[in-house]
Amino acid sequence: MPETFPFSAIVGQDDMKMALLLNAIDRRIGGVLIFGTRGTGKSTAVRALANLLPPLEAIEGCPIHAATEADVPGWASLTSYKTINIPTPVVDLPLGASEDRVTGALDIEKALSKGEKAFQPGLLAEANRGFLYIDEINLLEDHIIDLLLDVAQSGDNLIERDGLSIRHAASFVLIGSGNPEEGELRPQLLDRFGLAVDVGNPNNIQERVEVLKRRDAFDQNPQAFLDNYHNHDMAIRERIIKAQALLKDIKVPDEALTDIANLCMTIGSDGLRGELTLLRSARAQAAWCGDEHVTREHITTVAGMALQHRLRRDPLDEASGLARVQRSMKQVFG
Amino acid sequence: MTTTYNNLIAIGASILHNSGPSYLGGMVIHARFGGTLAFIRSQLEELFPLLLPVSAHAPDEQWYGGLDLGTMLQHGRPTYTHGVLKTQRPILIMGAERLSINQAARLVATLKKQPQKHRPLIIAINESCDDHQYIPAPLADYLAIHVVMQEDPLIAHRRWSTPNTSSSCQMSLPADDWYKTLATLPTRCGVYHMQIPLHLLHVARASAHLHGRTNITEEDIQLATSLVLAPRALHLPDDEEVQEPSEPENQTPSQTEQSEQQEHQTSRQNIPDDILREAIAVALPDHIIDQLPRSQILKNSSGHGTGALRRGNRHGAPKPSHAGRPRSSQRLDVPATLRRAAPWQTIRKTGNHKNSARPIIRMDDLCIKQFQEKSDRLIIFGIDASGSTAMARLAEAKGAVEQLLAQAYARRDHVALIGFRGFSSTIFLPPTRSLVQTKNRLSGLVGGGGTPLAHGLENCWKQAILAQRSGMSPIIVLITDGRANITKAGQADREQALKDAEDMAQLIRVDNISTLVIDNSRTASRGLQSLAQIMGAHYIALPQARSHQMAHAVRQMMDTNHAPIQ
Repeated sequence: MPETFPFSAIVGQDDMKMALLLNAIDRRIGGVLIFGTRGTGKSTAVRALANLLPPLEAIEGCPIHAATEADVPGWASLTSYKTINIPTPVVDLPLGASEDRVTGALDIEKALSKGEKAFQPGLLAEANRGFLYIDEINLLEDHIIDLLLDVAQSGDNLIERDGLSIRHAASFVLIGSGNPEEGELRPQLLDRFGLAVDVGNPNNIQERVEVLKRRDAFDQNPQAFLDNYHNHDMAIRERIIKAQALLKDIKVPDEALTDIANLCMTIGSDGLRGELTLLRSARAQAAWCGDEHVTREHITTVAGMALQHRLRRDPLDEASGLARVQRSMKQVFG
Repeated sequence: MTTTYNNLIAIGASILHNSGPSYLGGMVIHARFGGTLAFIRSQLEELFPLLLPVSAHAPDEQWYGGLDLGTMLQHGRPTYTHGVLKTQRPILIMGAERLSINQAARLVATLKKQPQKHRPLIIAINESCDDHQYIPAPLADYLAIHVVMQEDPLIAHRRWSTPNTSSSCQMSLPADDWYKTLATLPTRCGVYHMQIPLHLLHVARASAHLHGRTNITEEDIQLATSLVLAPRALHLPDDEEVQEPSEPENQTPSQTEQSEQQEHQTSRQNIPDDILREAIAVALPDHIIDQLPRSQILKNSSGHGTGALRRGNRHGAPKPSHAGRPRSSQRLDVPATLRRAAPWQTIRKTGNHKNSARPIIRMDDLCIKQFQEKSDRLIIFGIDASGSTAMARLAEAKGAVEQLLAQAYARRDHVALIGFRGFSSTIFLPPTRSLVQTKNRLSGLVGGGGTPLAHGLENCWKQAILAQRSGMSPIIVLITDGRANITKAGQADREQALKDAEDMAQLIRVDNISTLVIDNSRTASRGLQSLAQIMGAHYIALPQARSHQMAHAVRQMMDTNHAPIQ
């Protein structure tokens, strides 16, 4: 892999960065969907996030990065169970990936050359306890997306094919990015993502110049550039770790819960997923800010990204989801 | 020396050659198949002796590598093939417009994952300049240099001028002004993609490098503009449309100094701007200017070449597996393969394999899984926006299209919009599934002028044929009053216009394209009725056109007539 551009050096795109960080703090938020044209730093941000994430403790050589010996699946046939620190996995799902490659399948090599029935784990196993990133998600085959969302929701990957019957843990944060001009994601899939953000090209000169300068400096001398931003990146990592520790002690007062319920009702988001995601992301936001209580301010900061893709939408309505959420917030909170 | 476009190809190639594997990615050449292209190709092969031609239809294993089943079965151990992307040899993709957007996106993603030093250069040839087929955006954006070839029968006798290459030298960072110029110029030509300023910078630097300079000069920027921005520009640079955010005024010590500084800055910026403007105007061939509005539309369009087949056709119900070599898009059916090989084991276990415990499998035992695929539908709207279709009717037609769009969206159909008015027709939207785009284009459709029905029909027919070729089932929905008065050639001649329209109608009939004609004139028109008959189209007269009625009519037809009559 080539060097990745540091997270802290990404110019602007605050919503996208925030959404990624909130998911790093609380994995249960349920992933991010990033929509925008090419060249807006979507994949750069996700790859940069990989370098920020705090390391994981896992059994050495375990295909699903199990935390304890008991969690190591039988088919892994490990000999020693030593715990080591591994970088949090951020797995890329390439566009051409077949279903076999994603879920794992019968090991064809072994089957054909040795006549053995063995399981070859797929990308879902690799992404367990980490992040699964799909670039150009709107170009991915529909049946693969269905499969991914099912697994992402249940946290379990079940393989019933070619005479295999295997189940293994596959809990990951799903990050999708795409370009709406090249075809939209099916509406029923939208609200399966926890957060959704839109990114656009920077439209003021200063920002564009800064992007160009930094990218150029990075291309010319990656190492020097990385050294320059290393401290900034590490500061963010420290803050993530701190926020993760703080998360369980954060109190959600009744007023905040009422605010959340009120907002979701006004907007008319379907089901309870909206409320739950809003609650979790507001809590993660509070943790990020180092606060002890969830306040209205935290809620308003994250409401847009937590709710904009959950609205009953008239496909011909011009107003973006974000505008509608903001309108409702004004109505509810005054 | 006059800079001809083919000369730009030579310069582009030598920049790529000199800078080696770099952030430039490679080059797109728009060139029609023929002698000129053959000559250019031979020159490229001379410049890059390792140049590896790869077809746009190459199977995935050829690109990315994979398990070599034949050798593996022979030797009984896994063998892998290396994809061409791993070989680090420069790659020549002929007919790159036939790559599907999925393939292109995957190709670029794979390239970007390789360390910069190991990324192969890509030279992509777009061979269909007039077929409305473009290289899919992910690949086109990745390749820095875009050049348009010109037919030149004498090319072999001309000097294929390549600047002398220089040895490597340390480049200094460009001046701040250059950053600003490079960052803003593309936006002023309607190009907002952030990759483009970077491409400009890299090409300018590579050009300076090529000429043995250590810093970028105006000449380099000019060259970079011709190679990177000009072919992508949607219009000539406007005059400073982007306003700078007002700067806080009270910070600088003295007002005079500040204004002096500003003057200094503007004068320095103005020089390159004029040059750049010129560079773009020079590098734009005549027909490109004609095509500007079209390329603007196609810029954002998704791939709609032959490759759309795979994306369009989703996996369906499984069918019994059949014998064949698996490729990465097809799955090997292991149990079926073993079942096929089982009866032969006693016979095969002779000679060398006598004591072998494992089953002996040969290539022809392999079975692949099959799925029943369903073809996607494309609805092509041909909308008459002429003056004779009263304005109110146009609004109704738009309303009908919008209603249909909502349905198409739910059913994941593809939609294309063609409007005709004045003297010709325009493809407002090439086939897409994007609702956002469709809505925007539809609202931009304005009425007025003559009725070039024949031209409109021709465009509908072309889109339908393209769609058929890529495995979709097209349906044309024509909304007009049938009062054709502009010929196909764009002349005002009522009789000829009707004849032209009838000719086109014949063509549609011959190619068996399902068509629905919606008559939205005040009184049902005879002419249109007979035209519909020629086309073999369903004809619906809606003298009091109401959009939901229209939508209902189309829905009925679509439900009964799912695919074109074979």
